[in-house]
Amino acid sequence: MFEQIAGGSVGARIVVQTRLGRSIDNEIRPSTSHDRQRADVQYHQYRIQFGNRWIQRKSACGEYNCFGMLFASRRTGIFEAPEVEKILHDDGYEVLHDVQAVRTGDIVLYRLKPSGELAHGSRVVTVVPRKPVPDIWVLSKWNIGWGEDIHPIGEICMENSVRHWDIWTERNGS
Amino acid sequence: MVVSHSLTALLEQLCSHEFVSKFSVIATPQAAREFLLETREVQTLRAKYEAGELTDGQLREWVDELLAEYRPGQAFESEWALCAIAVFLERYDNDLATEYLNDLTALSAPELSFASRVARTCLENRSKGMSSAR
Repeated sequence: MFEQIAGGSVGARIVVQTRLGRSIDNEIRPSTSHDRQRADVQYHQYRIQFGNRWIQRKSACGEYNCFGMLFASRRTGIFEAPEVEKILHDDGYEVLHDVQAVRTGDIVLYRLKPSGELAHGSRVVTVVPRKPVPDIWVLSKWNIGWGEDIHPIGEICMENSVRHWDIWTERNGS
Repeated sequence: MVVSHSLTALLEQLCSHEFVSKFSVIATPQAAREFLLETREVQTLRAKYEAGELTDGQLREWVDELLAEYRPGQAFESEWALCAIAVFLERYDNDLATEYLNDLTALSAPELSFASRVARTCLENRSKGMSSAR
């Protein structure tokens, strides 16, 4: 059914490893200047619709996704949930149970309810102490080909509120 | 392609900004499959397919039309539409579904690699379902 695609280009991959030396499956997606311009139009509409409080860090780009931003320095995309779990384990991440202990640099993982399937990740960039919960802003890379925004931790677009998040830190590890 | 107005609108919806925006925070194929299963669009595709309002031939033609937009080295704009079709076809044990999921999974094109990953996830779930049904 996909005969016209067969024999096309092959995706680029780079060496990404966990702290324990296990390889991480990754892929650099194509992103031409034409792609970025086209994606920027959609991304701009999306920001108007959902992100009136957001602060844009970067316009549309396609080479990496949110997990590539978090764990591979924006060099490539990490798309498989088991690969992310591998990084969390090998790099010494732990769930932070006390939200008052969250600090800049910790990461936030968003999951679908009720399955807990991993959907998205972001990095904490601002924490303003407050009771009962601090005011937390995070940095997200949206979609495969959109840009990056700084936004409140709970201000993400998902239908039916089918999401929850947990905060992870490597600060307690070695 | 000869299709009804409502079917055309549904297929166009799968390529729309509104549809793509739903997936702004979906970065893994496993979450994409699960999330797509709950979308109105996939449920409508399923209803129309089971009612005979969407035939195998129409689906093949539509996929061919989408793929005509494929350009090596450029992002493929309708990738989420291919993902939606994969998720909708997962539950059917027929030639079209098997061919679509196997062929999409086997692709090595980076422009469609996320759709390939979703199709692989669908195949894995389908085989789990079949083995548990035995």
